[in-house]
Amino acid sequence: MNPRLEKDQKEQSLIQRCKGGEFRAFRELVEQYQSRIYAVCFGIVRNREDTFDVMQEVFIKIYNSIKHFSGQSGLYVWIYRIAVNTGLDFFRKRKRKQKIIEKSYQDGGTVKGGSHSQSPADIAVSLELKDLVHRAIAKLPDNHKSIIVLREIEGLSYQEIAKIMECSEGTVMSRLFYARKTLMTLLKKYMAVNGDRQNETT
Amino acid sequence: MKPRKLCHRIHAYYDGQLQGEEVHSFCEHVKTCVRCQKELKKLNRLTDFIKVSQSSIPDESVFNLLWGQVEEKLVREGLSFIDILKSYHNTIIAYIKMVFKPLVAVCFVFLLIMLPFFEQKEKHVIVQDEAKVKKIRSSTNTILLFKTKKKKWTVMWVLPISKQEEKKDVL
Repeated sequence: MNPRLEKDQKEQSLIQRCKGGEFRAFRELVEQYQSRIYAVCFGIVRNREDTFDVMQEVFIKIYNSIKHFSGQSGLYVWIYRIAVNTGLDFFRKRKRKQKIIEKSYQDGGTVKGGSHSQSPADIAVSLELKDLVHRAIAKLPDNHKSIIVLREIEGLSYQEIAKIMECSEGTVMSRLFYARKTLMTLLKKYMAVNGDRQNETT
Repeated sequence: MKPRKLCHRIHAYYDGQLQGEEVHSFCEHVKTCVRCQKELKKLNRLTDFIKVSQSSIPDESVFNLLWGQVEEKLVREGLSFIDILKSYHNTIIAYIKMVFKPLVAVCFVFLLIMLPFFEQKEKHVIVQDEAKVKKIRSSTNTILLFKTKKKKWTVMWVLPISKQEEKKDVL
């Protein structure tokens, strides 16, 4: 049998078992997406501890509403939608408390793809850059933020993003364009300095 | 396609949204367009920055801990008020029956006790307001009529004349 077809069938049976309220099936189903959910939630919330809170909420929302999942959009689209909306809700709530930037700075995560042979200066630069990017993304409007995360971190196509965000591909394209322009403006100084450094070294 | 229009497609090219001939023509364009080359570099750098700022995916153990919390929370949430009602369904019905039956009996007894008082009150009203009461005497019976609130005469009491006479005799 075609492995993809087999996977789909397995997923369908897991969904059916989930609808019957079987927790083990639910865990098996969602575990396939947990890393992606983490990436999306972190992309929006920008804080490791808060990300786990959001993930917990996402899992519970999935469990409670899987009965209503019709299967019209793919499961991953549906899960991403829940993750994005929950992440944005959380971010809005936190924004209301006016602690965004201070909290988002307290990320305990390690830098993905960072080399072990970094000098202290490099590490300082890396941390500074991280902080700057966190601040810049936090400043983006909600729609732009989620699109940037789905495109740049998750690498989803315009079509997939459009399904998740429930808008047209044209809207995705324009929002992505403006989000990138905003980020480039916010990171302008750093980008220019970094660019110059790169040019110097090359 | 005009070079200007191709420049506008740079984001679509960068995101891999161009197909077939479009990709080929854009690649040819980029070779000569300095502006697009710069923009592509910027886009690349921005993606790198965003990826660097992203936290690494946690270990399996961290997720296991999270799943434990989720399960605990779901179990706690699962026992909602309705579920509790469901689980105590039979007990609650038995309790209602147990309380309801005596309650009905008490109400019934209360009504029985109170009934004469209601009747008395009614009679009292009739005596007070004679315009509402009419006495008709036929050859055999004396009929007492009562005017209701809807101004209709209704028979309230029928007493055979023979019995009336008997009463007089006794007295």
